[in-house]
Amino acid sequence: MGDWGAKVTIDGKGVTSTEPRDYAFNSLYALVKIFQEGSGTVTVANNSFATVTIDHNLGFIPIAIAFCENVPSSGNFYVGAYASIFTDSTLLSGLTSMDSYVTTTQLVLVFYNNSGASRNLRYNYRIFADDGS
Amino acid sequence: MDWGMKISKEGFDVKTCTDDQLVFTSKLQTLKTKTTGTINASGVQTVAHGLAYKPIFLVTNKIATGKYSLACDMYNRAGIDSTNLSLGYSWATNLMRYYIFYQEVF
Repeated sequence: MGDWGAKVTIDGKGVTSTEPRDYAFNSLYALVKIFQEGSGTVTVANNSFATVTIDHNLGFIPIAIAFCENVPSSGNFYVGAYASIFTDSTLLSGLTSMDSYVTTTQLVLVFYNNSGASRNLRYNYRIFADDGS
Repeated sequence: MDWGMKISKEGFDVKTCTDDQLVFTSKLQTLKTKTTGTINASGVQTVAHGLAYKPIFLVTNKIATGKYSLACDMYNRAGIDSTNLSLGYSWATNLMRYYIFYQEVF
């Protein structure tokens, strides 16, 4: 195979570099690509679950990252992974959480609120066009 | 010196748009993939990454048939050092996919 492709270095580095970290783009190295992104707010009653489904219809299971502001207006967003044990209400006493998972067609966000009052939870997500399974 | 390369998203002027309205800019680093693969074994496994530093990584795990999530709960975990990515399910076999990037954690 010939020596071909495209390369763009970061400031101060030369395109003859063999160090991958010197490049903003190099067609030798695959990049993680954002396929879809979005955000929203969901109201979750106290001691209740709420589910938000986001269609991606990629036809394969992608990587996805979702964030939730567990405490409204706190400005702190947490990554939600799937941890079914955390649906145990004893462990969740006084807490709000979000779990997430992906299928070949959807990103599913599952919220749980056990804070003592209804909460409006902000979330955002990124779905990448790369295989997650 | 003001030089480099930028590509904007559709509908945005590359000369005036913000960084998050760009598809690419040589001003910012990107996550370049060193390797990706899967494991399907019991207990914590190690994958040698061949880099002399601690690279950024992503790991997903199967939570049910046809359902995957990021591996960052109390059972499905992953960690990195200057030699290996360690990942696995503590007590049983689980299917996991990993991505190791050239960029370093710190």
